[in-house]
Amino acid sequence: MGRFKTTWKHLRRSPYQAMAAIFIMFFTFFMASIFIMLAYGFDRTLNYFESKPQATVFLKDDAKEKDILSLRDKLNETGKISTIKYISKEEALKIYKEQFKSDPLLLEMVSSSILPASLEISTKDIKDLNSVSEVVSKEPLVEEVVLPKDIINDLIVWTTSIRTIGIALVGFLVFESILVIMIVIGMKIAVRRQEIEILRLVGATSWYIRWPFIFEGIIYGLVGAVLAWGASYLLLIYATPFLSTFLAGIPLLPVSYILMLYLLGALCAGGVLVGSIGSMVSVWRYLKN
Amino acid sequence: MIELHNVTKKFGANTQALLDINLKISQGDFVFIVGPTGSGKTTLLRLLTREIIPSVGKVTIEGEDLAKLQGYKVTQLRRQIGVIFQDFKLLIDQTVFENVALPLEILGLKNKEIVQRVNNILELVGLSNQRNLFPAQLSGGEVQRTTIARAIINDPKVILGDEPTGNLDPATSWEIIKLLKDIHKKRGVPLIIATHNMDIVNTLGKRVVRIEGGKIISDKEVGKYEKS
Repeated sequence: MGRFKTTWKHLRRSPYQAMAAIFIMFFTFFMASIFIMLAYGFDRTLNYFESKPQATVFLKDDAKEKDILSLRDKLNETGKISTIKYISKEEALKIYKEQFKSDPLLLEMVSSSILPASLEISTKDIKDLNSVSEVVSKEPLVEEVVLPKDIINDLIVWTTSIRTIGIALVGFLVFESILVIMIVIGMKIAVRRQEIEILRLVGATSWYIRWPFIFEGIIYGLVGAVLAWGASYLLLIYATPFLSTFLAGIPLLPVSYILMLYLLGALCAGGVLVGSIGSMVSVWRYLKN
Repeated sequence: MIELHNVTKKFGANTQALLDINLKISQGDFVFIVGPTGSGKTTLLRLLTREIIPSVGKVTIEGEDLAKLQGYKVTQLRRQIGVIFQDFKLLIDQTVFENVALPLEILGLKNKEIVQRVNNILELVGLSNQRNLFPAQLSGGEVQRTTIARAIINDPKVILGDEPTGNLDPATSWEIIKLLKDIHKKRGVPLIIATHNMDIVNTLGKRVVRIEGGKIISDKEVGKYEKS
């Protein structure tokens, strides 16, 4: 009990140092939280496309509906197709309007004439998708075939970049946080030299003296992590309506609160780890005996 | 109980604080260590709390060689020695009560027991009414009584006083010495006081060990401290 009291006293005595330490922890874990959420989002999106054996065949503007329907029948005859769906320009506009219903500016700029008609093709076996799309792309009325492969490749590039940037940035911030905690705790140890000396002389063990400083580092980490989690959760809730339209069809949003609790747990564990490493290094450095 | 065998303590190559000290202090002894400033009194006390270890020779308490104690054993030793410091060494941001309770908190005693024991000791040293004051709000004598209370709260096996009256006026000095004498009488543990207060030493008529230039120049059962 005495040690918690001592930690609390240390925190109360130097609120600005405590604020600096908590702020850097907050920033680190906020960035970590954002990158974890981004990486998770990209991962789920990637999974979604990977598990969806569907190619979109965009048709030229001058393609006649009759020709399109005959292409559809021709494809159906191959026996490899599980579903094939024709989406006319008007239907494309309807889908577009549905996706961007909350954004009137985007709606005003678009009419059915600029949206291409398309065929959405799913094969029974994902392996057939490539051969089918190769055949289709040679048809004269086909403008472009977009395979999930292309989206997946793009997504893989994005996911890898986000992971790399995230790990590098968060790694750097974690290192910086450890340094800040070391400096703050080091300063506190220096200021309390006399008090520590007295404690030693009246029979305190080394750990009795060290613990309040280590607790202090842990508290900085924990408070920073919890605040960061709260801020990133608020940001996510705020962005969910917009992202939902953007990611229509991908089963990602809203993110379940259980998942967010896992994130909280992970951030708190990280906070405790970073805080205790920083303070332990300082304690090891300045309170050897 | 406490023995120093041929103890020499050097600081660096040229400073010799103590030279070939042999001293035996038994259970219940009341000993004044006297001598001018810089004679080695404080060094001798610091050897007993194992803040320092002898360069040559051996210091033992109840047969245990202090130089061989490591880590937790040093802590345990210090818990058995109550020290009254000349510069008080109180925590300035803690009340009289909290300062006195410190050794018990370190031991991890239950709150109820701490409160009871601290209250008893504060009554003994006459600080019951000052229990919630901070050191800066106390008079010199009250501050020293707080350090005495802290030194004895643990029921130590030995009590050491390093110039306990060094910073006090004569009347307050007498108050403190009377208090220490009472405590010694009640507890019967060895009380070792380093001082250069001739008046007190000569009036009390206790054992006097005189140190000069790091050497013991006299050790008398009923001693006097006179200018050499």
